[in-house]
Amino acid sequence: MTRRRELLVGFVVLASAVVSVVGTLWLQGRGIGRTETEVHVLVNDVGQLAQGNAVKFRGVSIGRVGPIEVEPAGDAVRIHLHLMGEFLPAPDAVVLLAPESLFGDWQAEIVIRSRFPNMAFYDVPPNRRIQNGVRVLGGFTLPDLSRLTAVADEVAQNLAVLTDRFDKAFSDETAASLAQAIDNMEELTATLRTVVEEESSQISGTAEQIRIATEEIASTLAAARSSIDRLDAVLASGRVDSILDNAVAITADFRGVSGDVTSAIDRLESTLTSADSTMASLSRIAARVEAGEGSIGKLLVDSTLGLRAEDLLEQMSSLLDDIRANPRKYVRLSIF
Amino acid sequence: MPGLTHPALAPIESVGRATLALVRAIGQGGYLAAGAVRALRSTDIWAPHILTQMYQIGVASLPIALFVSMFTGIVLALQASYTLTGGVPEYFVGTLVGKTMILELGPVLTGLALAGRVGASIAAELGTMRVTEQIDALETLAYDPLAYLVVPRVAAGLLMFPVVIALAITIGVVAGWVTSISLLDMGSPQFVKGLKMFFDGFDVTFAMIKSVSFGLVVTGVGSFFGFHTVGGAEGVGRATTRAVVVSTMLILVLDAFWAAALL
Repeated sequence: MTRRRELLVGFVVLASAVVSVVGTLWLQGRGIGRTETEVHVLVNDVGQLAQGNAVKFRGVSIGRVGPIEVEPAGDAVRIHLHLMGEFLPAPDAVVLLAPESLFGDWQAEIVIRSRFPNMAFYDVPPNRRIQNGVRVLGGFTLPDLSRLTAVADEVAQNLAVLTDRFDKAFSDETAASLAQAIDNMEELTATLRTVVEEESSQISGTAEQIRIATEEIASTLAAARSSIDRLDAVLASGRVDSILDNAVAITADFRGVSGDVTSAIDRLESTLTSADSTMASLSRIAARVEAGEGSIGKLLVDSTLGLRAEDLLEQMSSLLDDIRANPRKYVRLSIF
Repeated sequence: MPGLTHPALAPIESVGRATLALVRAIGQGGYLAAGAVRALRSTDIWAPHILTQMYQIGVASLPIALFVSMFTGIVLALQASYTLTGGVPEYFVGTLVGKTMILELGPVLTGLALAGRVGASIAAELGTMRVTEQIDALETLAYDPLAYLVVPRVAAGLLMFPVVIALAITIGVVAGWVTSISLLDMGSPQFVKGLKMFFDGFDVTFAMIKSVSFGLVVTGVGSFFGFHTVGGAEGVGRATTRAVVVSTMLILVLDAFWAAALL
């Protein structure tokens, strides 16, 4: 009896231990004696990823997420990935953390970086890409549903504000104003219709005048076209060449004349210089004469001297008359 | 104290009486626990009996524990399938069955079942020994009754409750799995996916911690009420009932305590 009890107790205890251990390992996705590759991932934020979540490659589950820990420097989060079998990630492999479904379960998917050029995967420094023989990949976490929901909530709030403003804008008073504005518009439209009808006849006359003017312009253009045709004919006849030759000769003559004029201007400039100095001398002389200096000055200033000069001239005139009348009186010629 | 017998003071007297009884019970429980710890040194007394108690508490309790757990797993799968409709994926049936069985229903329902079976058995056995003065005879023979009667039962409860509960959880999950495949037209991979999806190794640790505490409570409370049984056969029945009721209450209190403390 005791032996049977020992056997039963031992069996139950061992069965329980085996079931607990094997069941736990199985549920955690681990295998006993199975080859396993460990890969680490560095990310800024893990989102809702938790230990035990699936690791996928090309949609196939290839392992489980292991421990998740913050780096000692606090600049990143390190995720341990336990991959089944020998798995060698591509050189540009990265890990994308994203919800697996809409119900909160996440996954870590190993992808090629070039597939997601717009995602800012964690840039693992070259000296940290292999640590203790374990490959370290960069990761990126997609925003979870709660963040998207928060954004949607914000959008909904903005819409609510907008709706409220619309509601205020389109109150009864606004509707009445709008109705009044529509009435005014109808009245304005009727007035405009009347004006347009009145102006339409005038517009018709104006259009007739425009038509006549257009015809005149057309005839003028025709005349201009014929003139241009004649001008073309003249240009084509070669008379223009001779005119141009003459113009060249005239230009050369003008060039010679302009040279002569230039020399004449030069001479005129020297003459003007001399005249200027002469005028300066004359000015000085005039100043001295005006001041009564010299014979002429005294003559002009001293009135008695003028009278005396006149008297002298009279006397000389009478003398000359006397000489003419009686030359022998004053001139004696003797040869011997 | 004739001046304090006024009827208006009766409620106060009741409160005082209950308080004293509680304090007395705590004191007796502490005394029993301290004596049992001291009795651990007497291995030559309790060690030969532990296998018998492991068999009685563990192996002999397996049928009722597995029966309760199996039908719990079946009902869980059916109710989960009934509840998770619309946009909720089917594999959440596996998640619900696994999580619920490991964290809550496996340990608690098994603990309650064992409280009724093991706790009552211990209380009745020790109570009978107390009212028939067998325990007094042990003391007369210089046999430590705590080492002979209490320690093997409590130790067997601490060892075998986790064993029984682990097997019960396994049977419950398997029953839910089989139910999902056979009755709910769900694929086995779907159930397993849901089962694995939110599994955490700590779930098992949590269940084992609860199991150990339930084993201690059920065997300890049964031993306490049985050891302090008074009043003959009627007292034995009263002690048995109290042991089951208090064990059940303490299991639920501990369940809430561990959930608040560890989750």
